[in-house]
Amino acid sequence: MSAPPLLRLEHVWVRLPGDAAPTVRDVSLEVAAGGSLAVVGPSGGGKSLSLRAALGLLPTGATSGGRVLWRDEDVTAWPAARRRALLGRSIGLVCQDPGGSLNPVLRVGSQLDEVLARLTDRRGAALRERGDRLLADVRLDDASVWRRRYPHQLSGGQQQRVALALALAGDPELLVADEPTTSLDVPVRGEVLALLDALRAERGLALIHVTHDLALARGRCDRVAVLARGAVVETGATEDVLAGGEHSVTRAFVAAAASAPPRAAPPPGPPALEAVALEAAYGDGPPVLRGVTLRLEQGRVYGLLGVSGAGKSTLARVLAGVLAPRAGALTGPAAAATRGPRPVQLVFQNPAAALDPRRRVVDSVAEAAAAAGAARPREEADALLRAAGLDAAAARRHPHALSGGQRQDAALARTLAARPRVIVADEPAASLDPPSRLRLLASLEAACRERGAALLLISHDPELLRRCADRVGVLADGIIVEEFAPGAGPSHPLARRLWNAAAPPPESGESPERH
Amino acid sequence: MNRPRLHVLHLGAAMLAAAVLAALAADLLSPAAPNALGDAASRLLPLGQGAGGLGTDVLGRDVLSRLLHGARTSLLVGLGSVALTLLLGGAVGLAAGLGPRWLDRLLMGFTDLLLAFPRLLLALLIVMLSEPSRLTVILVIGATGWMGTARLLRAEALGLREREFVLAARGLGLGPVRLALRHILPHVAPLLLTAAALRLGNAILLEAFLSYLGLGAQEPLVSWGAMIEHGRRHLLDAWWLSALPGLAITWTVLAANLLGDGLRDRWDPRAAGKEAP
Amino acid sequence: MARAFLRRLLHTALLILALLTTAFAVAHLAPGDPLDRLAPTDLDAAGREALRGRLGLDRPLPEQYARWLGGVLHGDLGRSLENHRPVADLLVEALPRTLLLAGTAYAVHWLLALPLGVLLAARRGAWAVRLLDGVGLMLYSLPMFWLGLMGILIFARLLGWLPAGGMISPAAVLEGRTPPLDVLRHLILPAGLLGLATAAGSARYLRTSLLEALGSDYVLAARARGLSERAVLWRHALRNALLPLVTLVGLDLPALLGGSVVVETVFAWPGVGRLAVDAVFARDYPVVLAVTACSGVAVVLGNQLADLIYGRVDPRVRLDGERPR
Repeated sequence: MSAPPLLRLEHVWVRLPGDAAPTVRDVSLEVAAGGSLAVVGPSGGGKSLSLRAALGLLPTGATSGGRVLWRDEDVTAWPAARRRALLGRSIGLVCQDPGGSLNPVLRVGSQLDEVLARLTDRRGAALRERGDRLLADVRLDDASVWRRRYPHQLSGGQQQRVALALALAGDPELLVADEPTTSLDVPVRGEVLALLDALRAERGLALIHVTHDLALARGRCDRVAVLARGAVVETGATEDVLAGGEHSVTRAFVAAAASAPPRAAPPPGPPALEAVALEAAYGDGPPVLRGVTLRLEQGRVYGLLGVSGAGKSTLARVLAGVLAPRAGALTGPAAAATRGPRPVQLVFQNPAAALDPRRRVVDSVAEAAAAAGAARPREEADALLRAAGLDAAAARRHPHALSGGQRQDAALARTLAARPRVIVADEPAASLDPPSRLRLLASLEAACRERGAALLLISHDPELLRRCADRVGVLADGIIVEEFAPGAGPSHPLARRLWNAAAPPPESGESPERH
Repeated sequence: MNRPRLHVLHLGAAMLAAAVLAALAADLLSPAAPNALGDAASRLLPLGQGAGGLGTDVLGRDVLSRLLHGARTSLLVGLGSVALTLLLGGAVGLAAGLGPRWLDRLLMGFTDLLLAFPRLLLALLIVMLSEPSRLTVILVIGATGWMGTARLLRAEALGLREREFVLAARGLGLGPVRLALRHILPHVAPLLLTAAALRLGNAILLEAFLSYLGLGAQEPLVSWGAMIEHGRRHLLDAWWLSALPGLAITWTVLAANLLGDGLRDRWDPRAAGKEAP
Repeated sequence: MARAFLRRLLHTALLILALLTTAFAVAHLAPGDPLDRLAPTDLDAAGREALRGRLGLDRPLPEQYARWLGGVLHGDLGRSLENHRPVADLLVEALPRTLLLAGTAYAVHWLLALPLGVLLAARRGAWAVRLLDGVGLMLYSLPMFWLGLMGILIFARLLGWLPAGGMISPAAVLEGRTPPLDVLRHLILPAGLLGLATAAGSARYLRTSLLEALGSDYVLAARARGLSERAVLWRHALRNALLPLVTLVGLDLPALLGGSVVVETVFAWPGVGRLAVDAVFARDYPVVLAVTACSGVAVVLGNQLADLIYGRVDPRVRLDGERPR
């Protein structure tokens, strides 16, 4: 690389107030003018914090050290005012939660004008004109409409566009995007990422893209830095890293980013639970499910795909017996309402949350076993936990004293102890990083096939279902629009749109949608 | 980060322990009987004189002894009423938070209604129509103070109700009672304790004012509020008769508040709101 | 828009009805014979029954309730047992004085709490915060009536700067005047005390609210966009932190009314609180019942007003009708 580095971090460390050990231990990375760097790593690894330290935006009470160089000058030695002047003018920041980054009580136009007034010399009509152009840049045409809106009146994607406009108001040379699309729906992610690429090309921006999805780096970033447990474990050109990293963490992320191999559809198994023409709603509200029919088979994985708000969680609750349907029936061995644990068990977004934080793990599992009628619940609990990789000592700990992976394993053991016939996983592990998520899903899948339980995987992410499901159903407008095998793919247009809604790589030539 | 707050907790606990000690050992520690009248020569003795060194009041009674016995009244009323508050507030709050929607609306509607009245006026209204006594005061203070605790507990129960581990427990087929006892109560207990400590201060202050008005524990029981009223007429020449009991009240209430603050910071650092629960 | 307003009006009316009923219930469901407390002890059996009849206490409870409620809705709050004047008249006389006291105290409370809250949040300097925190806690723990007495001792008796109680000096009473400056002098101690006592709690609440706002994502984003620290604090953080304070009126008002009772008693301020306490001693239960009921109504109305204001001020509510969680 011949271009000089624009921003460089050297051995940066950060300790949060009240912590004994620093969260960020030793981070060194750099990005060149006009270049792009992806910062990848598991949650809690210190990605966001390192960059906040570089920008001088640490939370109160945090201490930090190391050098931060902007165009080869050490900004940590600068007076505070000069350092702050970098923000907005030289470096722009876009954060993960678009709604959260906008002041809820001020209109979009007001927030835009305020930033422009601070960062430029324009006033009056010239100021407004500049603002309108910024909005057009982020593909929000008809500025007068957008200016009048309050943040809560915008969709997630629109909010993120406004945040981008604000970040670019001062014409910075570097944009730091901290997980900009993680909170958005999968279809919207593609649009925002395409916008990001277009803006970069138009303005010659340098980019630091923090993400836990390595796939996003492909075609978008020249280099990748992998951060784990507060330190950079590997850096390199994107192609090299994707071809095969050296560090174990890197390899886990590469594996998670790889496309799923095609699966052959297994023969249908005996029925576990059948839903016939289910209709459901909340209270007296409008109908959410309008006649859903599907069939879950023992030892098979059924994937349910749909956008947020399509009714996937409602369906999960009806199947689990938590919500009574207005019409329709549930039949099959798993539909019988018995005393004790429900035959259809729910697994949550963060499965480990099913463990009572005040009880020891072995007690929680034993409770489930006892409810399922086990003769010796404690022994069964120990056995299940051992099979999940937790020895007797670990089993006697509380959830917070275990590692993230151990917690997930323990929660799974608990679910299995209840001897379910069907497991419904609603957006499973959505809050985990890709390698952890894959690991969890693999365990879940294996456990189900072993025990002959049916597994229903609900997600808005088609990639996940591509990997794990034997059959996929698409839920839209309250019904199952189409069912298909992942290898084959859907034919219904709506289903196709959802199934293929991965982020388009920049070379595809698709221009971002305009509003 | 937790270090400074631990001091607050210990300080509060120590101060409260001192008050409790005074209350329990009042008979032992008092140099004179609290209601023993003095002869003409030993009335209105200033500080430094008298059996306890803190002077005597208009009737010749030793101030120190009365202060010590006053602790007994304040703490008995305080702790008694707080226990009642916790019981009522806990029951209502948990029922509203964990039960069906209509029960929640009914209970919270009633609670909000009572919250609209200034507590003091409600207390006065009730006390006016009953026989003033220590027991009445306990009941009145307890019956007018449970609403805040109920709201707090309801909010907590509503939050817990949707937590994954509670849903998971329900998925095991556990009935509502077992669920409440095994999973909800352990989570709610620290909050109840913190609420108790914070409520104690308010209860003691209310008791003091009611006694000041003569509506609290009656003679021969000693009360700090009544002592303050007694000293009111001699504010200029015997100011310590009113000042000292006030300091005693402040000590005890401060102790309770420090304890409550410390507990709250330790167990739930997020909630640092205005109103004592 | 009009429909929502009508619904709110109906809801408020029902609430007031429920309040009045509750007040009545509390007064009449207390155990024991009310006559034990209300009648002089030397009255014989016949005299007591006559008194009971005169007070209307021999009627069945629902009838008593209906008569009382009917009266209230017509503005008739009964007659004082002590001086036989209509309670409504007594209230109308005393109310402006309480409003003066409570209103001034509330203003003082905000004048103190706002800058204090902002100061505590903006400066994270350890010792300043801890000191003010400690002072605040002390204020919160002092018995207000005792503090009032000590105030009288120091400022009235010892120093002689301020009057010891009442609303106007005896000289003016004799002349039948109400000189405003004189009233002001008498107002300083009681209103100052009440304001000070309640300010501590509000300052702490404001500080928490402000700290939360300062730690929020949009403040971080505002800083990242290059805005000055002043703009961040005032335009972004404070604005958002002050919003929930409007709803605090719901908690403030009962506390303020209760505090006025204490302060008026200690300083002999001739307001509604003093009226109530005097009535308690005189066993004049119609007065106490009326004061209690009316304060409840005042709080409810105050709450509704606060809700309306909040609805206009927070765009999330104004446009969508839903309070953000």
